[in-house]
Parts: sequence; C-alpha cells; structure tokens
Amino acid sequence: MDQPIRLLAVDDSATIRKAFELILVPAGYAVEFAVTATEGLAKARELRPTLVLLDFILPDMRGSDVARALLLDQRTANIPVVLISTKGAEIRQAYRDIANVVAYITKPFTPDQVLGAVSEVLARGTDGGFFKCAPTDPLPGVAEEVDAGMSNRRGLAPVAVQPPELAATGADASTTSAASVLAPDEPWPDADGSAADDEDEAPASNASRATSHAALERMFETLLAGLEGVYVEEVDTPTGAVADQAQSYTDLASRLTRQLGETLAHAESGARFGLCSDGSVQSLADMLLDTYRRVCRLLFRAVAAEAVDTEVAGRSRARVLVVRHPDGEPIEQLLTPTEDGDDWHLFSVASDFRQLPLMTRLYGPTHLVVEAAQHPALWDQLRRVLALPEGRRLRIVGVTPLDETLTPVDAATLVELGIATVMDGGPGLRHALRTRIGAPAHPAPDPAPSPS
Amino acid sequence: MTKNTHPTPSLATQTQAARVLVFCVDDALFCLHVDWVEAVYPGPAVRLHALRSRVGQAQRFLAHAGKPALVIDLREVFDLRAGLAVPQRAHCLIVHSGSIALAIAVDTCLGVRELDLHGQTPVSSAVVRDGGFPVAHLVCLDGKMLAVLDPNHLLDGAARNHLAGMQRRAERFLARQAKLDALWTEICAQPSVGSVQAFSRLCARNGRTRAAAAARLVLKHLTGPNGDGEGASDLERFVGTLVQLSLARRDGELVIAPAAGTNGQKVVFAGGRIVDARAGAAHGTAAFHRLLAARPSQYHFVDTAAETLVGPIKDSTAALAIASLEALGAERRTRAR
Repeated sequence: MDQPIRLLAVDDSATIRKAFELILVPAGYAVEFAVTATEGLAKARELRPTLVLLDFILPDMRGSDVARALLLDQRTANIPVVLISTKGAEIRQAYRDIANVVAYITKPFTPDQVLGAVSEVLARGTDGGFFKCAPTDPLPGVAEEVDAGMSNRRGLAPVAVQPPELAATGADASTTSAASVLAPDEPWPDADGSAADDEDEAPASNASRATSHAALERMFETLLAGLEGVYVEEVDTPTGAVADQAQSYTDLASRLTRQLGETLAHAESGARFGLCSDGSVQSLADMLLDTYRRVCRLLFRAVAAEAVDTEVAGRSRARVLVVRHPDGEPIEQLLTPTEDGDDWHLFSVASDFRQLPLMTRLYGPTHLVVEAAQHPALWDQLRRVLALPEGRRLRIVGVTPLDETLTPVDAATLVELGIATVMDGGPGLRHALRTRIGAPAHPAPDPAPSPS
Repeated sequence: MTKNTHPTPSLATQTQAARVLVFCVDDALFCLHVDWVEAVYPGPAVRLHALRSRVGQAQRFLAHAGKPALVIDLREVFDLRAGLAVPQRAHCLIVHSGSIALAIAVDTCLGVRELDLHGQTPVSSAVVRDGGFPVAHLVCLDGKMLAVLDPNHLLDGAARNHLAGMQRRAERFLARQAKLDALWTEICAQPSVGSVQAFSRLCARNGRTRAAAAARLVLKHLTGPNGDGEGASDLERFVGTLVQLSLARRDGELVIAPAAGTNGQKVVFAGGRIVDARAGAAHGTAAFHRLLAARPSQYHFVDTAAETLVGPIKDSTAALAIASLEALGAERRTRAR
C-alpha cells in the first residue's frame, strides 16, 4: 500500500494548524506540524516532507527567511514551499524572489484553496527545479510584473498542452480556437502573437521545457484521477458561474480563448493591469495565468466527460444511426468495423422501433441510414423522430433492400420523410456513405429521389 | 422490493468495467451502475402518492426508506412528452441524483450485466446538462444501443429546482402521513375530540378529502348533541346516533327497521363500542359498511346484557364510521365516473 504523502505545516497559530489537520488529513495526507521556524527547519531536515506549508509570520523568523534557509540546505533544497499569510503583497514578493516558494495562499482561505494548492504543487513535481505557473517570456507592459524571478521559469511557463484524447486520436486541434491555444506543439505565443522560435532557445531551456511537459503530464494524470475532489468545482467558481453552467464546452472554451486573446492584446497595448469581470483589478500576468488555468481545467472536464471529441475539438464525428429492417441484410456491412476505422460513431436499431424517438434524442444522430423496405412500425416511429428538433436536422439516407422478399417502400413515403437519396445496398455502400457523410454541412439539394 | 446496500460509486468506478442494471424504457435499453440503484419497486406493489404543482402538473412519488422518491419518466426527463403519452411503467428504480431521490419508471428490468468499456469507447449523449456533462453514454450491448445513465447529471438545473421543491413538499406529506398513522391508531383505540380534529385537518392537507369530511362529520357529533336538525341527511343522522350511543357507553343493539327484502339488520354495542354488525348474511365490518351504504332512516335501540355482546369488530365507533364513510365516498366517486 502506498505511503501517504507527508506534509509539514509550520504555523504558530493553533487554529490554523487545526484547520490544516481537518483539511489535509481526510484528503489522505500525513501532516506534521511545527510551531516555530526553528522547529520547522529541524523537522524539514529530519522528515524530508514532500511539501512545506509555511506561515509567513512566525515568532522567531519570517517565512521568507525560512524558505531561503530550506533552499540553502542540501537536504531540504528540493522541498517546495507554499507560503501562507494575510500579507498578500509580501508573500507575492517572496513567491517571485525565492525559487522554492512555488505557491502562496492568502488568509482567510477555504479548504478547497488549500487542497487545490497542495495537489497542484504536488502534481507539478520538482524534478529538475521548481515549477511555478506563470506566463513565459515577459510581455510588453507586464515585464515588470514578471520580473527577474521569472528567469528560472523560462520554459516552465504555460506549455502548450493537449488533452490525452486529442493526442491519442490525432485530432486536428488547431481547428478550434480553444484547441489552437493548446495545440500540442505550438509554443506559447509571444507578445506580438507570433510563436517563439524553438531554435533560438537554449538547450537548457528545451530540457526544462521537456521537464515541464512531464510535470504537466503528471498534473493531468493527477487531476484526472482526482477530478471530482479538487478541480471540477473550481472551473465554475469565477463570476458568471450560472452562465457557465448553461453553456457547452465549446462556448466556454471559446469564451476563455477570447478572454485570453483580449488579455494578450491588452498587454500588447502597454497595460500592466486589467479590470476583471468581478470588478477587481489584477495584474495582466495573473489574469493570463488564471485564464490559462481555466482553459486547462475546462479541457480536463471535457476529457473526463468525453465531450472533447465532439465539442472542444470542433471536428465532430458524424453520428450515424442505422435503422435496419428486422429481416434486412445489406446494412450489416456498415456495422463491421474496418481496420482503418470510420469517421463516424455508429449504432444500429433492428427491432423495437419504439425506442427511436428516445434514442434519437439521446444519441443526436447527424445521419440516419434506413433500409427502404416496408415496415409500418418503423416508418411510424420515423415520422415521430422527424417531428423532433433533432429530426429536422437529420440527414436521412435510404438504402435499397437487397433481399427481394422485402417490399420496397413507396416513393410517396420517401418524399414524405424527406429521404432524398436512396443508395444501393451493395458492397459499395460503406464507401458511398463515407463520401456522403464527408459532405459539407449544408450540401446542395440532392437530385430527385430514385425510388428503388 | 430488492434492497441494495452498496455505497455510492466514485467517478472512477463508474468508468471501469462494472456491473450494471439493464432496463427497458420504450423498448430502448438503459442501464445504471448497480451501486447507484438503491431499490427496485415492482409497479403494482408500490403505493404512489401525488402532489400537484402550481402549474397543475401531478408529481408522483413513493416512500422509500421513509423518504420520498420522486417518480420520473425518462421521456419527460429528455423532454419527449409532446405527442407521446407517458405510459404506466412496470417498475421503479430508486437512485439518488444529488440530494434528490428519484424513482425512475421503467418498463422492464432485464437484469444485471457486466459492462466492460475497455473494448469500446462510449459515445457521450447529445443531451447534456449544466456544465456540459452528458446525461448518458452510449455503448453497444449485444448489438443493441445501450444508454449508460449518469444519475447525477440526469436532471438539469430547472428540473432539479422544481424537484427539490417537490421533494420538500413530499417530505412534509410523509411526515403528515406518519402523524396520521399514529392518530389513526389512537382513534381506533380511544378517540378523542383532539385526535379526530387533528386527523381531519391532516387528511385535508394530504388530499384525503373524503376521510377529512368523514372525520368532520364524526367530530360534529362527538362535540355536541346529535344533530337532528333540518338539512341533516339520513346518513348523517345515523352516524350521529352511532356516535351518541358510543359516547353514552350503551350496551345493546341498534335494530334497523327492515326494508323490503331485508331483515335482521343491526349494530351491536358493548360498553359504547360497536362490536358487531349484521346485514343479512354479512356481519362484522362488512355488514357495518353495508348498513351505512343503505342510509337507514328508521331504527331503534334495544338494551341487552353486556356480557353476551362480543363480536369481531375491534375498532372504535369513530374509527369505524370514518373508515366506512371514506370508503362510501370513494365508491360514490367511482360510480359517478
């Protein structure tokens, strides 16, 4: 059984220590506590915790000094530190200046903030250096914000990522605005919108970029594994959560991408700060970072919900519903998967046609392939399907029954149901259908039906 | 009813090979992870209650483990009611969607199957809920399309709000029902004005208008002299007589004047309690009910020695009268239909 991750919390407040215990222990972490900086340093050397949660104001030392002391000691130099304080400005400064301070939490905090920060830091890992999420190369206007402290973060900045499914399927991520921001091999855009030139980057930077890729992959894995606990709700926390909830992934991704573009444009204009939708003023660096994280998290959710294929990728696979005559044969060939795979999701219904309205609503087929043979129950249910909103968008393809014993459906019914095309049910059906499905979204009207 | 005591599955177990309960709605195959299904109620055996919403729609629910489970039909959930009447379903599956207990009405339960999703990629449903979560994933099972429902995303925000309100009302309904049960036990044993009054009030609030009216009628005679006034019906006067005899703790028989073709109709009292009734060949509660239905107008009381008067009826006069009057009301309503 895996050992729990050991954390060290250094805080002189018993309340805060108790809060950490209540928040972190149920989440599966083993938490050690220290009251003073001296005790904290000693415990850090002795226990080698995975992470130190460090109060900024301690009785005997400042948190920033403790962090520096940890960094200087070889035994504790690799331990990431999360600073905690009400003094937001000071810990932000420490965050910038001290390499091992990888995150900070301002008091008062919520359990989600603590858990989110801890899991995010742990997910990043520290192999090859500390990783602080921040925009890469200083942008015009925000150069002062992302100051010299960024130097060790160059290349570790938001690296273009792609959700595992997109990468696995080889989907063309650049076809959508959201995916274009997160295309796998596309570097983070420079201020002028152009991509950074990889050849100009130092080898060390490439190495650290590879490290950050690995760190991000680990982060994805961690996040996907613990999606419910930490990140799912955070996506909905920004203002406009109600609107978010009512929108599709595509809408959300588009909005975030637009927001990202606007923030970049704002930065290009020389501004250092921006007005957030909740009325607060934030540095553009923070805004960029926040938007970037939200895009990532949106994609995590989309991947988890398996909506990324059809929604985020913007390259919706056709959804084909094959309605077979109970005694029909020709459409069977569609149901046998090919080695090279098909560009459609396919389900078939061969009996119990009463299910058609319900399953059409659930499946949302783009194409309906129906065997053009007489079957009153089938045609009756098809009429119901066509009365649905989904039915009005359906493209129906008829297939000539090969079985001569089946009575072909009459031309009037074909016209009534809007079946403009009747394909031959022979061996070329799959190819013909593939061509048909690959047709533009709004094809020219087909010629007059060719009733079988 | 089958009970399932498994804990709620995590997201991870939902996406792995899992045991699912496959069921049929409108010939379409659906399934739920068995760990989600808390119980399966066969339709005929389950007692459904109904609440009427402000817009006049009836929301049915059943009591599961003392809590209301709101009946939903997948046609309604997927907004397919237009043009398709919601039929009577055979079973109800109890699942929780967030804090709301749902009784999903299904046609047939086909059994528990192992669903291994490693060999096939589920296709997310076109119907998504708040946050873009699909309500189901579609997979192939035995060559048929199977929708793996996600109970937590079955309802959208509006439906959830609506049902949450309904759930609160249903909880209050069940709380009143529990009080009614306690009151009824009390009324059957030893009725008091207070208990009958409360019973009447709670019945009216729970939609049992006939029971409420019956309780009010009995209450009227419990609280005052026999209402022999003008406007009182034969039935009302007869009930009043029964209640007054009961209050007076009389021993004897209330003999009803024989109508054409009937004789030997009587109600037997012992210490003020109705212990038996005779109406032709019938006796006991059935005979009492038949006597009330006949609305007797002429009767007289004959004192008899108490020790000889024992019978099958155990409930108090008030309880007997209320139950019979409620049943009569229901019969009248059925006949009127």
